[in-house]
Amino acid sequence: MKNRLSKNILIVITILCGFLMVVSYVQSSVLEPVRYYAGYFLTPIQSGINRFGTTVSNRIREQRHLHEVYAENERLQGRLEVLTEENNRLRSDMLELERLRALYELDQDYMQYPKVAARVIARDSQKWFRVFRIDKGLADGITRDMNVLCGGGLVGIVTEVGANYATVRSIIDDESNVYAMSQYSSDTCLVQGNITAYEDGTLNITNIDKNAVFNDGDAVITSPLSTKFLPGILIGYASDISINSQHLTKSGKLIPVADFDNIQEVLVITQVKTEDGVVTPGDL
Amino acid sequence: MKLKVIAKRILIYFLLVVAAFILQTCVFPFLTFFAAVPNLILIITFSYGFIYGTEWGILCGLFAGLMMDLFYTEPFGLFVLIYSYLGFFSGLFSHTYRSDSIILPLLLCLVSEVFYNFAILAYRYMTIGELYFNYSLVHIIIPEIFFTLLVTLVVYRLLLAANRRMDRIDELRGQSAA
Repeated sequence: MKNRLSKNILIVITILCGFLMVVSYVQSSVLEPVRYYAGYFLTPIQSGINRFGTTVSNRIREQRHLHEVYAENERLQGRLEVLTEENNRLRSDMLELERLRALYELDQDYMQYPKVAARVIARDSQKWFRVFRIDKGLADGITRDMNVLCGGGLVGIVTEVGANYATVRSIIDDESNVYAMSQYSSDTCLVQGNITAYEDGTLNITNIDKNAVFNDGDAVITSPLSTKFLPGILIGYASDISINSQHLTKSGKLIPVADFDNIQEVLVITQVKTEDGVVTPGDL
Repeated sequence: MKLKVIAKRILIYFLLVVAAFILQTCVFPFLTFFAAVPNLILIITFSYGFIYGTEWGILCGLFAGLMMDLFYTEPFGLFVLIYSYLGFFSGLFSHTYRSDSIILPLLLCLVSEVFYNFAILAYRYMTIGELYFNYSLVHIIIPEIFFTLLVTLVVYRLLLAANRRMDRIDELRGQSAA
């Protein structure tokens, strides 16, 4: 037999991998140390190469858009004048709002969560799993289940942490479910990732009560019901809300605020939600 | 083959797979004007299986799968399994290897890509419970196969040239030692 050695090796690999898969499927933390220590070797290389790659990519994009940018600049200069004036007016409004908010103790706004910025260093190359890796890890105070934001909206949650990296599963991944609610009516819903829906730039909203007040264009934020997501983070805006055929629930689409195709820098909220409420892991 | 030569090869293949993997996850996905990313580590796996036989194919598949398993949070071992089988499979055809033919490597690449993607599709069906077959075929599988085939045309020849050079050096060393 010519290939006997290979066949034996293959049998060993099959048994070993089968065993490992079952073990890691049942108890996912068992093999985490392996990924953790591999991170020491891989992350610095990934970081460096990624910086190079993004620089090249950005240069090419810059060249392409230069003409558009000139034209846009002209137009925006005009807008700037108008907006500066408006901004001044709004600022005085905001001061008033802050005073009133303090008065009503309505400081649930997520802007107050402590955050650290991180750079996306690696991404799934094949679009099968919507996960990415960032260049901050345990050493920077990142732990599992921390929420990740980009462009003003929720993008995902940390699922695994190494010393100097963290893996983030984005909310457009099929395995992602987020308890959310309408900012306007506080009626709850479930935001689910779906690869086919994301092709149209949307996520699915399901499990809305049929009597709930949920309209197209409503801002959808994370709900206090969620066990892992901090309350009050903007996810996106509802659209195409309609009642289901069984007349029990309503469902629809959600247009996310974050641009998932072009994530380069993200913000990680350094607090996690536990049964005891919102805590900062370092203080435990 | 001498032990020293084998050890050197293992190291070189390992570094090659690491380099390809980093290129594949850290550079290509950020070039947003590409529709899909070519699967470089798959090209390396089937190429070495095809050129040097099943043992080397499995070895490269092992390295490639290891990188994937370290990166993703799926059950550990899934990708090692898939890639090892790919390496073994292409190794079965190594007796038909001829250095000037590009048709057979392309065919092997096609078969490997189809097997690989369908294995992941099956795995996802088991974990998520939904297949999305048409969508996956049109938006993920076909673009990736196309780009990988295209890149194979170039990369396979590069690998071949590099290996021929390496083989010759090893051969000369062997002679001078004898």
